[in-house]
Amino acid sequence: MSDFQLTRRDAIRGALAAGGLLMLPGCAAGGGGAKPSNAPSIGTSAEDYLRQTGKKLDVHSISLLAYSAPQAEAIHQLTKEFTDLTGIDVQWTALDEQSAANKAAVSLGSGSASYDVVHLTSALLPTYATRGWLADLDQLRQSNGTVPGWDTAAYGQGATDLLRSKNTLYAVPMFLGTQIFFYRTDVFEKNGITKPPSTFAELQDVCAKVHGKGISAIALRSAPSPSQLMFVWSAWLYAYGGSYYNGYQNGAYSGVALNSPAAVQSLDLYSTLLHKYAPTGATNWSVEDVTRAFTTGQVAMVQEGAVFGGTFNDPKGSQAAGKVGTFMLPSGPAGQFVPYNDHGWGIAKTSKQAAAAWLFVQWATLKVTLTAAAAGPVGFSTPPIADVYTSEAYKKKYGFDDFVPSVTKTIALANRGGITPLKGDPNYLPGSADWTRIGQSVSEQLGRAVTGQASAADAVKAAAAAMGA
Amino acid sequence: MSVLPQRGAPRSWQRVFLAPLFVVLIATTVVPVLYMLALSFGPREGQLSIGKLRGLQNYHDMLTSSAVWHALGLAAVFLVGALVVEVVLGVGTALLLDRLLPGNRVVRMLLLWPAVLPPIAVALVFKYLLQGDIGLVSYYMAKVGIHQAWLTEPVSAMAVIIAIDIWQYTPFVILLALAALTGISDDVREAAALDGAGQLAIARHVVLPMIKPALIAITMLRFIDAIQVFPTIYALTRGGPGNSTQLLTFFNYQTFFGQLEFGYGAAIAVLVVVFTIACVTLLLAWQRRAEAS
Repeated sequence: MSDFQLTRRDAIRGALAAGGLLMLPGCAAGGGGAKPSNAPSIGTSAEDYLRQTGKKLDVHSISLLAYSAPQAEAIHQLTKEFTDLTGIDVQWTALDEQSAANKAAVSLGSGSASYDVVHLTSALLPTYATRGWLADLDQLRQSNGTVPGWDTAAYGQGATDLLRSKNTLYAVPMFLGTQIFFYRTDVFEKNGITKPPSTFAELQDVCAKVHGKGISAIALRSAPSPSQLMFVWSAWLYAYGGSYYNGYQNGAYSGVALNSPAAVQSLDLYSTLLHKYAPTGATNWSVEDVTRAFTTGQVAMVQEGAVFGGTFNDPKGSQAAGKVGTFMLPSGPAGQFVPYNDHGWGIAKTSKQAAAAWLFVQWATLKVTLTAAAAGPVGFSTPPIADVYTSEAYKKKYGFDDFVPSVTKTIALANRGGITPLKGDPNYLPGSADWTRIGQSVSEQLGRAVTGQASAADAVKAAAAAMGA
Repeated sequence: MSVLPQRGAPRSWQRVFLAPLFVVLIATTVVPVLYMLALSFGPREGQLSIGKLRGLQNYHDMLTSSAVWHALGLAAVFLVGALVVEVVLGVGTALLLDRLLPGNRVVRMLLLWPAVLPPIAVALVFKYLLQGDIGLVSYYMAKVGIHQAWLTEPVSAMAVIIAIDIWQYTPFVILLALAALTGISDDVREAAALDGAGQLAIARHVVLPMIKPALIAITMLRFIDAIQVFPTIYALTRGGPGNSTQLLTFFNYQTFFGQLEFGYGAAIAVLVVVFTIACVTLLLAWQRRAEAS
């Protein structure tokens, strides 16, 4: 442990002190994000900048609310470095995602400023931004400047667009939430499957081949909520040619399009796989259930967050370790799509320590910090900076099977527009302010097909009605 | 001169001593209720601070929403299912224990045990017992060829939530019923026995009518507690599968925190309170009638 800390500290300090930290190009769709005019001079090192700014601000502490998840925990473990440099203590509160979101809503909605920095998902951002709960980061950037080397261009257009509302940046990316398929190489080998499926038809064939021989073929999120069933299934919907809406323009959606043969077909396939090839009772499963099923050796395949790569291949907690293969999501008749969102650090609009919070947010999202976080012991395998994936530290930690190419190709596909059929829409799931309400109702209706309470056609029809069709 | 305190208006020094109690009561009950009421007249979405009022629109939306009525219906199913079994089983067992093990303190202590367990802990234990193929119960049932998806089929998920409530609180009902039974003197039973009544007839025609007001009070206590069921649903089903276990309180939570509809959520909270008060009023009226008869 102490060896690791020394290496990590050296890595961060060395890289920070190198000054300038010329950022490498971001993701494929990256671009934009010109350097602010008030950036410190080239000769000022990031470490010096943090030290001087910390002293100037004279803030004793800031409070932060985060999800109890690898992406936040990995940063938490490094936060002492920030405190050492700036003298700003970070009062860290970590709760499970739902509880943290509840607490954030109460804190931000009441304007109590209990937390200066909040961890949020891109799905929640439109709601938070529309209600005026978050500080305008473009403005903070203008008035407070930036840490040398920190630039939104590093994250890629796709990642930052998800955290913008009406062209204003409200959060800085700290995690990419995309999905790939994980499979058991030994099970595939035993069943004579030499190549992972590349279409949904092949996926169904593979399920039929491996199921029932001491293992279930597949597990998928099926609990009725936008972050569970809807997050996984929507890529299938798009691949079959379906969509939630007909059009997208200037942040607004038009024409409910969900009630379509493509939606029925994809939901029917999803439900069929769960009924025929998933463990008994897998029709109300959340991410915890799906990941547990894979790590306990119950299932041969899961479509899950790439962030679980480290967890699945960790011999300490996974029976699948050493036998984990990966492949990208299969293609459907309308092409290949991937689930995609990101998480970011936002700053409460009512924060009295906004400048200090802004300093922390930049430090936490520097490439060096994220590289150290990804290489650390927590297993945070999907940072939002593309360059991290090509670093030696990353390859060393996650270089099992074809995990790294699966992740980078998935991100590249996302950046090419493979997250939604709607042109110009940066969101995987509709990014309207009322989606938190609509999405829940739609999920519940879709869930009725998964549980067998309704046919796929009836569920899709009811879901479209919940959207106002 | 009596040393007992005299009835009547409290003196000024007594008011001073009572003041902290009223301040705490007002701060913890009256203020939140007023805040919730004010919020319910505000915008459907928006802020948690009281701002622009929207009149009765949230109430109109709520009363015309099929989802709210569905949640209320599920709450009614749960309440009827849980309370009927708890009271019938609890009172029946109490009658037996009262005859077989009268005044046994160990039994009474054991009976209290499930009721004092935190509901979230109970729910998590049941989750690991019943979940999919890996739950302990599910695993061994699967070994003998029974594949029952307890938590992921609408009917069985609701049945499990009711069963957990019954498991946890029937002993509490037994305990309260035993306490009520201590108020019946043996002379009454003996008199009935002398008149030729059997044990069943004594229980049905003598004992139960005598403790009826107490039984209604027990039902009321259980109702007030059961209507608030939340941790069990949160830990076990999150309202699913579909929305089949989205009882009124969980629906309220989803609306408020999941969909961030603060005004609408507050209106539903008012509905929960009104529904509870209405049912309690009915039970109190029934109790008064039972006492009078």
